[in-house]
Amino acid sequence: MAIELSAARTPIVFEPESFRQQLEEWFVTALPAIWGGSAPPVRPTEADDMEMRRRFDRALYAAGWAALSWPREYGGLDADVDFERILAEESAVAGAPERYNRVGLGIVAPALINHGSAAQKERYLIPLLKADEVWCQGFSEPNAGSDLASLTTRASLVDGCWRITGQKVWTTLATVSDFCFLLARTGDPHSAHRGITAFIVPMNQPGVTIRPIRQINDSAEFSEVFFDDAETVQDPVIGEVNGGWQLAMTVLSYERSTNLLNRQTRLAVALNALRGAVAQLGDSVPASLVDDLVELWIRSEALRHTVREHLAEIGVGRAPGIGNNATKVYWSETYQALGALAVQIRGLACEQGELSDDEPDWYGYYLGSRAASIYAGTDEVQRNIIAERGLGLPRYAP
Amino acid sequence: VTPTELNQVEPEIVEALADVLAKGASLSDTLQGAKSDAGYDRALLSRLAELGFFGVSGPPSHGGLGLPPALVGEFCREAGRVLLGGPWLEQLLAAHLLDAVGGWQLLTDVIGGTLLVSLPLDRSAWGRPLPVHVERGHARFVSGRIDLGFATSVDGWLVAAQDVVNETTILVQLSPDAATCRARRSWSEIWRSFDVDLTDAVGVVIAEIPEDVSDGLVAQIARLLACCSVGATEAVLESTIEFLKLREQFGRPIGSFQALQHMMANVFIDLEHTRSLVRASLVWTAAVDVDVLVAMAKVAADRLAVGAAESALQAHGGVGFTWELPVHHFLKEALRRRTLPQPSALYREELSRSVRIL
Repeated sequence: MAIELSAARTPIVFEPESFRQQLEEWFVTALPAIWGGSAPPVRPTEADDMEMRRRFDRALYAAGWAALSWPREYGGLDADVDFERILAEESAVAGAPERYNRVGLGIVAPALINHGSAAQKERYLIPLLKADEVWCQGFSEPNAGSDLASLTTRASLVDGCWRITGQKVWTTLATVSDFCFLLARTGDPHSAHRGITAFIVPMNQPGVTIRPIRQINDSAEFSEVFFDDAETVQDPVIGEVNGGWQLAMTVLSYERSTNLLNRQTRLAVALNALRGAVAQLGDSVPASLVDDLVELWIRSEALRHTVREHLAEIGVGRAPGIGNNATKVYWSETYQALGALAVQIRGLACEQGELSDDEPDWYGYYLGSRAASIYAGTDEVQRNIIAERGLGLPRYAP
Repeated sequence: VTPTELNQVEPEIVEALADVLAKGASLSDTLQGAKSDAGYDRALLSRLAELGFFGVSGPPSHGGLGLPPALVGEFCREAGRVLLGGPWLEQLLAAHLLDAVGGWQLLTDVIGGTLLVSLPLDRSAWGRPLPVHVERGHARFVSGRIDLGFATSVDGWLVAAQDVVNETTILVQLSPDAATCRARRSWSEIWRSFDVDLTDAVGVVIAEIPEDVSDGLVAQIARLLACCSVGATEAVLESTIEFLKLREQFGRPIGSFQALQHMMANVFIDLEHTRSLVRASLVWTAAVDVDVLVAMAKVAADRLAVGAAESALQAHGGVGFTWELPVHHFLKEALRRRTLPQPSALYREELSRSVRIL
């Protein structure tokens, strides 16, 4: 499918393969400015990585490619999702960082586009795309993890304004966010998923306290966030009051597919880095470890083709089905196994600082991978969903 | 053809065939046919031929449907679901091979199902063809043995041979009385395998086989067997799910227990991803790394099918260990497919070499 670039820029018709070529050319000039040097920084610090990501989001916006498959009226190009795949693949190959405003792009924007009011779309979408306003997501709570529908953070109407009290946890990007896309209870305490509403809450206010959590990989990307009679924005409800659960579930399933695209391309790049190391090391790598690497190579390719098929499904207007839940599990297991194998093969090189420039710090990579089977719905919850909703097995009733 | 295009063309055709297979072929039909003298239901294969099963991607000038070759794999997936018996895979491969080498007269008969043929499914038969003396269009085998499925209940055999004089590889057609066949003992109740001694056997030379054609045939054997494994896994998963819904213990359906739910979810997860990989191997047949893709698809599909049958057996409990239930057929056929066109472990070994080359 050929598409036309939006009006503000020189209108040119382009097709997937010519887009790939344009991207390649664009990266040549854009990437040094994003990296802050002629080559990607070797194993950047978290702060440097964040800064690179922000520059990448802005550069993509300036180029007109920040939201390829979004509707035109919200800054997108109305392009086929195939273009998103090409962007993800080329970005990974070129060594571009990940997107900065990824929660905003993956979850908030689809929620606003599909369920938000005209005023909300007008107000929030463009600043989000430009990474001028950063978003986080307030779903999980200390006592509502896998059992998300039991969340207790409360939203109350005071003089016609919604105010929030409660605690969220595992909030990615909270420390740098301007807004939180937050699920709160608006029904009675036992209303479960029927009494939950989606809100927009500003993060920079006295009622919000953010405490970064130090993770096992020494990153502090997650935080716990306390809301103490916090204010919401004007017109804060996305969708209907008490309609937040369905909205969140729909948005999450779309998010899973687009996110998996990035996850799959990143995994393939990391796998290639390990293959490169193994090629260098030659016969000194035990055959059993090479066999393990072959397994992961097969899984990585299977993942690539599966994600591609999922995107094709979305492209023809079919909702992402249960296959997405399966892919989340398959990806997290592959990612973790790759981290574990890399530590076996390259652990010593890691400690002695002898990694090649394109290899990640494999210990950090491995440790980070352990979270993958926990976040975005644990692998156990995914299997429950697959078994009961996908395969139609009877629900467990104690 | 891209996977997206394949998605668009395929549903109605595949549905039509699935319908025929569902109505006209079932696992019990397969087992029934296996008990007959021929070892399969010849009438069913004739019906499939009438529907175009053997000529899906064949040229319309010879009775083929001229559809994208990748669709052949979708049909094999359907056939895998009922563990379809008889030399249907050989027949499909014969059509593929005759199309590639220009064996036009035979091609029409093969596509039309008036000539049912068998051919070797193992790599060595195509990679290291047996020596022959060629004289006036006929080939006399010097010595050597091959493995042939249903050798005594087909109309002919197609075998690769090497002309001892000019060392070219040729395709030879033999009739089933051209050599002595010894039935092999097999655990499979569906598959009949014969050890064929071709010493002094005489056949008709059909055409020369270029090297890329025999390599392509071996790759196609692997792809189509992988498709069967995917289909068989779908079927075994579905029937196990039905069992888990009905079977009660502790006063509730055992399918409500998480241990079994997660076991089935794991089969599903593996199935979803292996199916995509196998489909990719059918679509990207001209890719530079085609050998790698085929090896990956075969390794993944073999593991899937064996693992799924083992899980199904466990999930059924004691009754799964009985001959009465079909689960064991899925396990035995998966084990058989795993050895062809060469043992899965050899594909894995090839990948071990390739993984070091970037």
